[in-house]
Amino acid sequence: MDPVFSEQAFFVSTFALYILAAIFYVYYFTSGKNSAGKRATYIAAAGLFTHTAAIVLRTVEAQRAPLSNQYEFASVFAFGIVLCYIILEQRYRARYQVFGAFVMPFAIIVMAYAATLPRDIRPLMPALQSWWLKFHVGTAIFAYGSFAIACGLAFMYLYRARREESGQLGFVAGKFPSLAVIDDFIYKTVAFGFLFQTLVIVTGAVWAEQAWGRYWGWDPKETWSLITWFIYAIYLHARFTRGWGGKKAAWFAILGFACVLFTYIGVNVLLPGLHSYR
Amino acid sequence: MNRQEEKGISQQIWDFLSSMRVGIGLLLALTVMSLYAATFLEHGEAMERVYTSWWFMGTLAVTAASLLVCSINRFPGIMKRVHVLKTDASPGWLDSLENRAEIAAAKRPEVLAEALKKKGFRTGISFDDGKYLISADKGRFGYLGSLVTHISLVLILAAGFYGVVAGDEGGAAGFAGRLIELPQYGFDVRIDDFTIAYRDDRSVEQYYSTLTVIENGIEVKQETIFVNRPLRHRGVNFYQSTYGWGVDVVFTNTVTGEGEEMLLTDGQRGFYHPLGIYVNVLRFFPDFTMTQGGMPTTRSVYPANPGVVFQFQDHHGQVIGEQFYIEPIGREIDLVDGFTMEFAGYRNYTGLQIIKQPGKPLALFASILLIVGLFLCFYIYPRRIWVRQGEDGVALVAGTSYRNKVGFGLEFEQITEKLKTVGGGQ
Repeated sequence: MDPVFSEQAFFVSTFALYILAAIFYVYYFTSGKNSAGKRATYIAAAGLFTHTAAIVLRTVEAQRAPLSNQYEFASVFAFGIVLCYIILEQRYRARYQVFGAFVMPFAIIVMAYAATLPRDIRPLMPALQSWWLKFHVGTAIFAYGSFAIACGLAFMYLYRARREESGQLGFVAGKFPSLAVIDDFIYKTVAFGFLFQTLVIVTGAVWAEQAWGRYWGWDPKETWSLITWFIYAIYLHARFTRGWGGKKAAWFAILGFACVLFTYIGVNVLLPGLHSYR
Repeated sequence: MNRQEEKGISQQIWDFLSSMRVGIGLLLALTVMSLYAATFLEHGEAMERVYTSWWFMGTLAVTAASLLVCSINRFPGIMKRVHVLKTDASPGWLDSLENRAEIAAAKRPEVLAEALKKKGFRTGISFDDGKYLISADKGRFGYLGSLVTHISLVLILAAGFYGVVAGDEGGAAGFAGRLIELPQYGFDVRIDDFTIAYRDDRSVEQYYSTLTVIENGIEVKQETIFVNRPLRHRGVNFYQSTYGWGVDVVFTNTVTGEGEEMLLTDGQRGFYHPLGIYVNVLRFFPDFTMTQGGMPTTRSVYPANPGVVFQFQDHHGQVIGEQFYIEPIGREIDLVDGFTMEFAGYRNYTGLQIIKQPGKPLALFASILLIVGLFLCFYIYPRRIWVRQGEDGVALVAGTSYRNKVGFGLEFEQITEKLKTVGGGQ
């Protein structure tokens, strides 16, 4: 079988499975039926499996790690979101599966974005021919995946906080865990993402030193990844500062993810620099 | 107000720098500045001006000071928490903790303490009014996380600053055979060879420069460098940075058989004495073709159809004849009086960046420290548990964690279950 065709078939199946998983997560959220939650997890896991197959096939076809253009990163970005979410879910023994309904849509949006991008396999330009590519982009998968989850949870936090202030929780917010629990999970996912974002920057710096002769050069992509890092650093400090915690901190988790998206898409489209790999 | 006046100015500055709000403010300021530069200024010089401006450097310096002051301020408290087990837990305070459970108090405290020890806790037993209090903690090195993180960031900033002050950056280009003299570093580098590897689609796969380091006339080492693999010698690094084309121009006097050769790059001109003219190479096109508008251009970077665009000038630099001519490689051009000229061949020269960045080892060390610090912050979370013997044969188990509330809640449940069953019975 033609590997490119199979890759596409696996990609499309993955997309479908993620959508189906999201539907089951929403069903679990509204009905509270454990069986629906279990199914949602199984379907998401199956999606991860087909996604892995698509990535492996592309690796075989390209004879390199598929981490070097917008399409390839969009695909592994969505993979990162689902993988990080499933790990989180399993770690807390599915106690907080309601998060799934608010996380899966992120993976679906990123997959939809990937589907619009050109997917032809092109050889690597000299600067990209490095082992560091795997570490640099590999760590970004976990950073961005985790930040996407934090963003989804931050929306939940803000919604529930607003309902609590109005005095009526309503159907949706009533099914959310308490603000303290959501806050704790935002913190966990941001912390995980922040550790990996730091690794992205450090591995990028080591690589940049080898390829371009300097470990830091204020290239727009470098600077934007630092801005992202600053925003999440503010989030991490805000939680411990009176008057800055709660809703304000949650806004920073959302702002941070906006920076992630700008670093990934906006910088490539709008700002020329050394990192403009289409 | 009164207290403010009592404090000296240095104390006020110290308090300012140690405030978390000021820290957040500094992060916001850095965010806004770099966002402005990276997004709204043109790539290159305009950006560079921001990052080297006094206000940006100043903000970084204040941030470094703030990080340092916070670390110094918090150092004694953190060290105490790491070293000393907290045993002063009043019943009222324990009752206020979020995680609480009751177990039978009849067990010997040593048995309970042993069970906690098996879970990785540091434990201590004290008695108050004949009732026991077991104090336990775990993950105490997590307290060090923020300290290590903040110190490592100060070191990274210091490394960057040191690099700006003590670093050196230059470049050199040349054809194979050129000796790059570097008296400031005490050695020279010779370009032995430069080749470009092309793919089937005529795109560039890689650039290779073979360099030899020469110290006091002795060849020390030879290495082939390419993009992503620099040559490093005595703290000086040589990077494959750019390349260009040169053409071999051959003038011949067919009457006498005398000839003259010159190697010219784009924009370079060479003087031929016998005719008193310059040949000025405007541009070399490796894969020559014409655009629809009639302008010379190149289809690819691969020398499939090399062509030279050039002009002749008299000894004053005035153009002779057409504004420009286009010639392929290897064709003899008849000039006047039996003189000919030929573009006999073409070669690549290599462009190297030569950089000394003395702050690098410190920056690398600090980066590793940063990762360790963040790991301590996020994944070694300190938690404390106390078991206090109360009235009516019950003991209160209470616990608190610094970060990771949900995770600790789960762990606390497991631990109380263990404490209930250890040493037999409920």
